[in-house]
Amino acid sequence: MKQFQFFMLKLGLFALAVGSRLVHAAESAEEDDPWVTEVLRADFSAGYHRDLAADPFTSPPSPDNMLPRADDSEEAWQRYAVGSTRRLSPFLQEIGCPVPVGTVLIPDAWQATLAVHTRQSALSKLRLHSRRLLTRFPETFDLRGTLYAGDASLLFPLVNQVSSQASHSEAVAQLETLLKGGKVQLLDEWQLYAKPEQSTKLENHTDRSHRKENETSDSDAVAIGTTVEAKLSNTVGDGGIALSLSFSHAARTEVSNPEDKTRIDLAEAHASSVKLNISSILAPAEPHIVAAWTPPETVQTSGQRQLHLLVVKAHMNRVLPPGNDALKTKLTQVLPKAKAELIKTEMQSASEAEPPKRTPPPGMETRVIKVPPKFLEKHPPEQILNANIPLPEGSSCVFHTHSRTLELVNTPANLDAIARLAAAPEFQNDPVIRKTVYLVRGDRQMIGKWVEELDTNLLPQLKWKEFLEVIARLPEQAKVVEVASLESRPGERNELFVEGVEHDLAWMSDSVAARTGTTMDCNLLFNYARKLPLHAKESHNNRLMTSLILIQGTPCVIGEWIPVADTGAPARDQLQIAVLKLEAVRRPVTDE
Amino acid sequence: MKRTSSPRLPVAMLCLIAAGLLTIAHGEEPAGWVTKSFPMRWEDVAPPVTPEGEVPPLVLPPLPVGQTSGMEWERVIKTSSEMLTRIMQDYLPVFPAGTTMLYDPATETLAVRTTQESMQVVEILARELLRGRPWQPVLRVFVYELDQPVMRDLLLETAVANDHVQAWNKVEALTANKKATLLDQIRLPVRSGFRASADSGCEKLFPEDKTPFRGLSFEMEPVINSEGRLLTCDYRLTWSPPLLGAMRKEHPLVTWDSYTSMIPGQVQLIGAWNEQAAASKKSQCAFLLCGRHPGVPKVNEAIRQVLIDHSPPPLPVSKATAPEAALGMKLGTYRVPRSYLALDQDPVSPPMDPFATSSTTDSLRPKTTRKRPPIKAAQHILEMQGILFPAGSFAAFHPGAGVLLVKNQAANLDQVEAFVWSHPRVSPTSRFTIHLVEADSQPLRELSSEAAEGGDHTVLLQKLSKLPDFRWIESIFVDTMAGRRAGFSSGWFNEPIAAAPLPESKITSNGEGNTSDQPVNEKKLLHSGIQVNLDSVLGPDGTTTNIILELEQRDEEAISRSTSATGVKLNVSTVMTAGTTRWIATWRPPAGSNAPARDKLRAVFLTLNQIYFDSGSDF
Repeated sequence: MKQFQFFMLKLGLFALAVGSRLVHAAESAEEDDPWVTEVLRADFSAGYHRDLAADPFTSPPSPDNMLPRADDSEEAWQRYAVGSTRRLSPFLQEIGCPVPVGTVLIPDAWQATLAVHTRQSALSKLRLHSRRLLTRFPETFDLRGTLYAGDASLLFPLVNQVSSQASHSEAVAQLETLLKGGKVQLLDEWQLYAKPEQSTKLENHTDRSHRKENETSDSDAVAIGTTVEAKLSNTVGDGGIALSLSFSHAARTEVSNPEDKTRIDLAEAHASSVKLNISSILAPAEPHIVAAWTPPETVQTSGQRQLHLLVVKAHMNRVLPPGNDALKTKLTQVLPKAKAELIKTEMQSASEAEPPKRTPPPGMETRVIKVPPKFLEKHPPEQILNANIPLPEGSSCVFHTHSRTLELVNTPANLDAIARLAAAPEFQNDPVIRKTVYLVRGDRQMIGKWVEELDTNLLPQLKWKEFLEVIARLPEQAKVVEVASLESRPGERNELFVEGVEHDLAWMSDSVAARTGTTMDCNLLFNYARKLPLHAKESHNNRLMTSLILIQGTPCVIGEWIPVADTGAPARDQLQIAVLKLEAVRRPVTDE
Repeated sequence: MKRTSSPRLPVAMLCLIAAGLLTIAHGEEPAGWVTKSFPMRWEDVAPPVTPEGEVPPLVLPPLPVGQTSGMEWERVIKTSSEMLTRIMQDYLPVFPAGTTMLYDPATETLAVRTTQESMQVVEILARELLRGRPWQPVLRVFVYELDQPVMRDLLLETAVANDHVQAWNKVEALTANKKATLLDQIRLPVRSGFRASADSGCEKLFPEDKTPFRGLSFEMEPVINSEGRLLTCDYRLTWSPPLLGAMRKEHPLVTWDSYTSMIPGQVQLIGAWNEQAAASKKSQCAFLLCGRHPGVPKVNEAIRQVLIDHSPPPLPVSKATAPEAALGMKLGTYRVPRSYLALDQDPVSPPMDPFATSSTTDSLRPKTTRKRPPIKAAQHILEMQGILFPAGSFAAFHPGAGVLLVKNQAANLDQVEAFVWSHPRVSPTSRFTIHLVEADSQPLRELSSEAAEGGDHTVLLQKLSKLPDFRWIESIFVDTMAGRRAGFSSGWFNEPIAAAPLPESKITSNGEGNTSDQPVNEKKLLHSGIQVNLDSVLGPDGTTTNIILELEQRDEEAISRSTSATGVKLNVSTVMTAGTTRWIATWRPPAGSNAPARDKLRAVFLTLNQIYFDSGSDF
């Protein structure tokens, strides 16, 4: 008996403790999630006037629907606040942005402004949806580009590191630190404004009119300076900015060889230049390394290799009318009365209609999962059945396109499978394909062995990493002669032309990623031309034109040649290989 | 995860112990059951189910990473076995209850534990899938220079073999010992059906100079046959020694315009010729290597061990349930085209009434045109042929493998064989070896009377080669297929070759190479060299080959450079059977300034061999 009493006492104490915790939790919720009043840029007129749009003559706009003038009475403003809140709340609920009871909204569609009084927790979602629905207003893009140059030993690891990363923020931060430390130079920078789908061009180069008339050959038309041509659009959906960029940069090369006193005719072996075409998908306001290459080597700098990196950053801005800041004062004026009225009616309607809650059949549960936009392009239940996931008796699959959610009733195992299906690569965004080509020259025996290992090894990516480490350690035996890394959207063509005094590099490729993103079709043209200062009119070319299917992330030896020695004769104790690596990088689907 | 409250701890411990016990209990395979792992791509595990050919996405539970408890493994095994059995049952109706499976998408490995009998079927399928897997050829060309007698030996030993890997190894060993030199090499990875090219060599920066490209240039169009393993390719290969800074319009050049068949891993000696410098005692030769890319991935043996360790013990296989008829059944494997399922068409479809209105046609049209899932149709096709499938028998077909697996009684299997019998036909490569020889005129004349006695002069050539003043001038390989003209040349030429692509500066201007203004020249043989064109057509009897041979040869030793071109030009047609040698022509070499005093005759011998590939061989 005593024991029972003791047990009851314990139970009571436990209940007390739990109760107090609950009360405390409620209080802290109030503290954590206070009411706030704010003015947002928003335009919900699409949802607001939805019924009117259907048939403008049956329900003419009532005065409650129309924004009162600034000098209208407080009652008019209050009526407007209550009316518009009632009209907007269901719409917001529907698009997946429910607002708590007691929220007051005063919208001004004309000036794309919304004064809102709501809980802190609801505000961030409201802000997001407001931004997303501003599609009525034209957009404009801001593109910034920076060209960095630095020692290859510093920047090469950076290029390798970002090759499979979706976000380059960290790498660019590192680059900025190196720049401050004086280890990296800033060669050039530019900024452009652009309308979507419209090509904009910036030319910043020296006038070449003073050049002699007889120098009209094609190769001589390189202007010293920078030319940028860009086209941006947000057609990718879910916030990504599609970029197509052609960039060229040419520098004057002063060539003189003090050792053998040979004179190099610059008119023939023209200035060093880089010309590239890339395309990418950028996250707004996030810096991105879109290209990297070994710059054309001049006689002076040979021996200490450099690397150039092109970093771009894009913003998308909506062209909005000036905001209506007066709405906030109006809201604070009408707030107490409007809020009270809204809470009262909400209480009434809540007690009237309580939606019946369905209980899932035994063995099944209800789950709401968020799916990527591509998943909803086809009928979702069909997608699920196609993937061999059953929809048994009693299960259900309801989908909401705007909020990209599926409401599912199914067995836990099947629900897990559906969640995995939604995460499958074929429903993700189109990847950006990052292509890196390495030209490596070194000891014949060693490189030959590497080729064999890369050809037959089961995990060539690990082998390749190992080889790069060996190259860093033993620069006498092997060295990376050239590196070039470019980005492209699937199906777009990449081009890179590097022209220098000692070598030319041309690389063109089209590639398309397979549905799953693991294999890529790639059409390829590659040419590495070695030029000797003594024989300026001739070059030794290593050329390749082919079409391949490559596995994502797996290095592939695309070419193998006997290089040419400085004398012009073949260097038979050496071997030169070109290794191509393709990565399909997906930017994660964000709510932006 | 470590926050286990005190009352739960014993439970967790119990579970651990239980798991441990279970692990000990079935750490090895139960009797009659085996566990194996196979390399298998996801699209092979789950072949397309829709008519559009869409592969179902991978929705299996991910394999646990790191330290994983036995219970966790058991849960994963249970879910993936259920899903995989459901998927694979459509084309492999052989899995008894208790079969467990795991799939690792990272290494594309499928691990299966099932009865020995079922495993036999899985093994056959996995092997066939692996053989039929798409691959991309990587072709490599190596050009060597070596002593003439060594070259002669190599030519004799490679004449009838279809794989010359041993010869290549020999030359590589000679190169390592500095007795041979690797002159040039090139690599060209490509995919089936696409034209590709690779070059390595010197050219002028300005194409208007019209100087030739000098180096190794390789252009080809490989096609992998429908069985998925034999590579046939048309190729054009040219080689001339590159030397930067010493480019002239006139240069020694070797060209092939030919055809070959190879299987991955194979090496072929595609040509041998004498170095074109005067008084050189060196020969040069080229090897073509065929590799594959990507390689076959290594299977994940770890998941096989997991299956052995963590699969629940299966129910004992009860012999009593096996139907009487199933006892004498055998398993038959038949190669069929991958389009085999196209045979599954409903024979009774009502003819369309051309005058019917849309409403009547709609009502006439059957609601579902195909009731069977495409992969189950395999058995239906055989049943339509009147072949019986008693209880316990099955027919399975995987569209990716092109193999029909039938389990049935021996008599029924014979019927199946009669229905699907087909033999993969491989058209052989015709290899012509042309020997250009020189000997004293007197014994040669004597032997020529012997030649009139038969069509095969193999023995004659052997006899001839033993004569004291006998000299091999050239020995050339030309591979081709029946019906395709093949060409080979080696010598001094004066014209640029058409294969030299434009430099990239031309390509950049308009985005793509403008190939129309490429020089299309007939290259012209100058003072020294040999040029061969061969047409061969398989005769109507299927064993003889009709041959037209064009041959032009000039010898630097025999003529002086200043005189107008004299040499020999042949245009011969003949009929030969494979494996024979024919003495084609004889002539007296023109007397040049440095010609030997003695009376000499030259002769051409042509040998034809058919090289077959066993397309069924594993690689």
